[in-house]
Amino acid sequence: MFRILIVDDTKSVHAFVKSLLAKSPGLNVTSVYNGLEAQEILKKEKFDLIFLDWEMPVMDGPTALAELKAKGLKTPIIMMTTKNAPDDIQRMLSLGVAEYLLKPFTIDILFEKISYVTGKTFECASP
Amino acid sequence: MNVQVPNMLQFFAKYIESELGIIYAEHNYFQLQNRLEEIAKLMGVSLEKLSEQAQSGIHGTLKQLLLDIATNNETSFFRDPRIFQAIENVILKSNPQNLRIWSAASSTGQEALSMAILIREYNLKNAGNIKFSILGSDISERVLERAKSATYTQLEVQRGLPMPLMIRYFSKDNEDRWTATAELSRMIEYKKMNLKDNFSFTEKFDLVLCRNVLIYQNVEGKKDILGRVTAAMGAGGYLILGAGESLLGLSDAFEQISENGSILYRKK
Repeated sequence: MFRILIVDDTKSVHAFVKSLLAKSPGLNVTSVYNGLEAQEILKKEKFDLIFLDWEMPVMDGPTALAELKAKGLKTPIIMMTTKNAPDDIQRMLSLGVAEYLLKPFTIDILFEKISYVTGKTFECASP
Repeated sequence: MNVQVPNMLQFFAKYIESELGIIYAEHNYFQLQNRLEEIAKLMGVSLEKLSEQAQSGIHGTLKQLLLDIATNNETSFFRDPRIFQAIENVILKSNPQNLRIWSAASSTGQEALSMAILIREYNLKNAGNIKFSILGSDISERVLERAKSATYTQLEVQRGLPMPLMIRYFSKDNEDRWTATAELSRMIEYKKMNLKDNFSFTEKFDLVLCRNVLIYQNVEGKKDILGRVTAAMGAGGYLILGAGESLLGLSDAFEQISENGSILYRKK
């Protein structure tokens, strides 16, 4: 089973990404609402891939990213956000995000990003 | 389905076949109907009215829109990434000095730009100096205008393009449209062309991408197009077809090279 963690403060994003990914065999999706919750769950559980939002209450994406990287987290992280200024994107890539997914997106783009980062191709079921 | 619909669809299917050689099988008529409904909507008329209009002559906007829908202009950057890897392994690694490339059904330009990015990246990573020029051709004026603008919506630009390449080769405007940098665009020239018409070029191509064109043609149409494409290529030039296409029974002018799960055809 390939485990994905979604870190996003918007419930509808959890539901949307889960609905896109849930129909694909071999994927298991867990979601939390901010960077701090992500840090907590990552202390206890292992994931293969993380989708991380930028703007969240309690702890935002860039802070969580910096802290997780400082602790030596190797799990690839895909930043998933509406923030589309090339400078912001470049900064996150420099900080070590493996890919960057701009909202809104479609299922084919979501699966492409997973494939770039993991080298794995999952069956992309129709939404 | 209205009883009049099959006749109407048959009429449009025959027109598209005579103009482009593209055959709509009857079991795909529903796709044609969906697309005709889109055209009717665009032109602000009912499907019945559109059909009436067409019976009295197809020209102008209606003609252009019909050709556009028939040639199915959906595409993405690095569509079928394996073939681009194969092009890098076989062609770029042979260190050619100059490549003349033809994207024969260029649609909105993603294939031509992908080739330009592939070569730029190869040159950067390998301190290479492969020079290149790209011709993009398509039958549809509408898609060529878009290709020339090299401007894409955020969804379009993300499709097939990893983010590091997207921010290296595209710039964003205030309306979230992304435009290819001049260093890419200036390598590409676009031209309106129907591959079913006679054409010739002053210089031969080293690489021709003619993907998902033959698949819509009958055997005669395939041979006809292939003959002219082959004549436009230099000896040793490479031809790339779509993943579901092959030259089997159509041409013996090429040798087949398998690379990275893809096939390249090398002109003898």
